Amino acid sequence: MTTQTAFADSIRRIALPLLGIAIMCVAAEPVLAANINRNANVNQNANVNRNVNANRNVNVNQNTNVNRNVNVNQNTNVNVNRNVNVSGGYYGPSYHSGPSVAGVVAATVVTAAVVGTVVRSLPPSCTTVYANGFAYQNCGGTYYQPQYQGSNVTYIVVNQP
Amino acid sequence: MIQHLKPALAVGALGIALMLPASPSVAQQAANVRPTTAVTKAAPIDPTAVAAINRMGDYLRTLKTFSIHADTTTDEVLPSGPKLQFGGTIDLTYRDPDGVHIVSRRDDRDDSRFFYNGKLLTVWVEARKAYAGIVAPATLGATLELVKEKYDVTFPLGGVLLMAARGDLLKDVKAGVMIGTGRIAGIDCDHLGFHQDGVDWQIWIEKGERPLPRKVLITTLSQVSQPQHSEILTWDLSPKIDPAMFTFVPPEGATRIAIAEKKTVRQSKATTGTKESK
Repeated sequence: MTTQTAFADSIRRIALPLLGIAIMCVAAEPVLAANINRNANVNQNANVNRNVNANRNVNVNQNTNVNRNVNVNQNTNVNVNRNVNVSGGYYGPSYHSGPSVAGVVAATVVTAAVVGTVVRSLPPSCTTVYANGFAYQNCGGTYYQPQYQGSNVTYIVVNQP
Repeated sequence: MIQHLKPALAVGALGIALMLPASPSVAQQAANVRPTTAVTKAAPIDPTAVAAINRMGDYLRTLKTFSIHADTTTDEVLPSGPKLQFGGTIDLTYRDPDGVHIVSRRDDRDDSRFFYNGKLLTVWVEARKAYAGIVAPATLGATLELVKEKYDVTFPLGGVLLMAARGDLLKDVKAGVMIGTGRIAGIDCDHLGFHQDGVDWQIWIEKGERPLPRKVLITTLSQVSQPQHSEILTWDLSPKIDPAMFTFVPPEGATRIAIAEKKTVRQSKATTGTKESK
């Protein structure tokens, strides 16, 4: 896919500057270590403090790099395989990937009479029943309520209305 | 993408470069931590991407009427693994602030027709002679929010309408980036990518004076095979409007059916484990 290529390509191009930064960080560490050691010779107590601070500083730098990586990686993962939560109430572009056709057919066969079951087509020999201003289908004693769901009419098994 | 990322990287590199010679004094180190923290907390949403979306929204809000023809593809995944793709079209007519008429067609579905007139939102499925309706809020934005929160219904081109109705398309976005230039139907567009929980979406927005969305591509991440839905949009900014088109009048023999609520779906899933979730 072009998008994937674009993503992958941009990642590759970003990787170089990031690598550059990483190298800079690595290069920095010996310098800091040298400082610490030198201070150790002067005063042990002060040395401890500085040590901590120095380390913190390094960590912060590394965090910066990591976060940047995350930004880029997220966009990559977009196309690869990131398992994220089931989509909740997002609205942006409204799309829920639908149930598979075969899955619905299977549901029709397997769980015919359990209240709450949703099917896409009715079993044969149903009669229409009106209640509460809605039309229901009585199919051999099992009641189905037609409903608009997703982008389709489906039938949900209900108690006798 | 590289172009807009460069400044950010440069700032990061600069921050690091500044910090390297530091460290003689505690005070200096503390001072150096702050800017770095600020960089760390910087939103992963590219400001140029946000600006492009906002510019599109601002433009859509200036339009008093428009119609869109969308050519769509939608993936469906079979339980056994194969991923199928179905084609479709959406024809939408909009009149600011409270008129919407939509005809949605898909190869694997019955046609659905949506009507909104500031009072009622109705869906009509002619093939089943069935319609479902709700008493709707007076504004399109509130109606879209209501549908999103309460009902298990996919509103065709909901994102575009939300923008036109002054909604916030980026509310749930966790990451976003300006990718570059893409050509849709021969038109140069800005290509943007966004990520939110469970969903990645990309949008192509026309460059220049008319920043209209020309393509939308949505990837569902919550399924292993990551099914996609695409819409390529053709716009008419001076459509013919018949005011009656926004109001549904039940034809003879039509029956009223329910609209699935979100709760109902969860119950059915919990009790039966069916995969029906549309």
